[in-house]
Amino acid sequence: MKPLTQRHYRHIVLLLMTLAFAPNLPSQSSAASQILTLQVQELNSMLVAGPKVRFQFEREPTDEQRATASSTFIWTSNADSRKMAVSCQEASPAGKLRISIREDLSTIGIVKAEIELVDPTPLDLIRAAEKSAGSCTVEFSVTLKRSMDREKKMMAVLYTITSG
Amino acid sequence: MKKLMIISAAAILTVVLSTSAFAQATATQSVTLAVNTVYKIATSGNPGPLTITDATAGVDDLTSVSDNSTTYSITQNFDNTVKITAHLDAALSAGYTLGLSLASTKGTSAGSMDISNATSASAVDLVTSIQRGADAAQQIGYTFSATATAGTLSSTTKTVTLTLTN
Repeated sequence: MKPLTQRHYRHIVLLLMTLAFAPNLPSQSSAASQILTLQVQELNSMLVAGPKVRFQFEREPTDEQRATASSTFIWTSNADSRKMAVSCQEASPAGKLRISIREDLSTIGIVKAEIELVDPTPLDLIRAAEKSAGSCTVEFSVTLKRSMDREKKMMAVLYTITSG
Repeated sequence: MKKLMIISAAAILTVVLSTSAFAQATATQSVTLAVNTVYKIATSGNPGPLTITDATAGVDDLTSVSDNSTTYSITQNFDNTVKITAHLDAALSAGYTLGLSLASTKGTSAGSMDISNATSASAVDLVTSIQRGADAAQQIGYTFSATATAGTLSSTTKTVTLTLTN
């Protein structure tokens, strides 16, 4: 076997340098940046689904009568500690209107078992509600007074989401 | 015979004179030419604020917002395998999503890609197989979305870096 000459050593050094630097050669690049401004506003959205809640009393009100009906309350809120309140826009001389929520919403907030609407004062149905989106069944119960006239009565129930 | 000699002499004289007329000196230079690898990318500016302002009752995903007002341009002569990646200076919190799309006529656009968690160590490919040449004024599209359960977000700035690389 021939001894290595200076020329051989030169080739070996060149080969080693090529191998050493080859992986770093293609790492060229150019960059440009953009500044984005992101924001999510506080949003509270709700609706009551379904047709009008209708109570119909078939017989003469000789005594107190009770009827029930329900509708679906749907909401989305991205704020903490919201409260969902309901109010009856005018006092009803016809009878008592009670409202309750059928589902267990304890993971959403503190739910009052039942509230009775007697005047336009808003009453809290759900307090300390967390950020959430969902729906629940609102049950209405009307107790008719004996002295009610046999005429159609309209009652508007107002839902609100506020802080608190 | 005399006439022939005159004509021959005239011809020889013409050749000699014409040779003298085209005589010239020459010099040469060696010119070294090279074209280095060129990568250039630039954007047209910053997009407008992306502010979520609407929601649908009962739906956790808030109404997303978009911005397509800015463009990018590139020039590269390296290869036909160049790509554009994107990353943020810091990842977004859970529940907030930033989508980014880059149009391209020189490469293959990946469409809208989620870059919410893309940082410098985990940049996302937006355009691949870019051919040599220039691609000017290509649209940049941003989509910002959020869930209700993620909560509100006060005005926050994020830096998006587009990198043209091989």
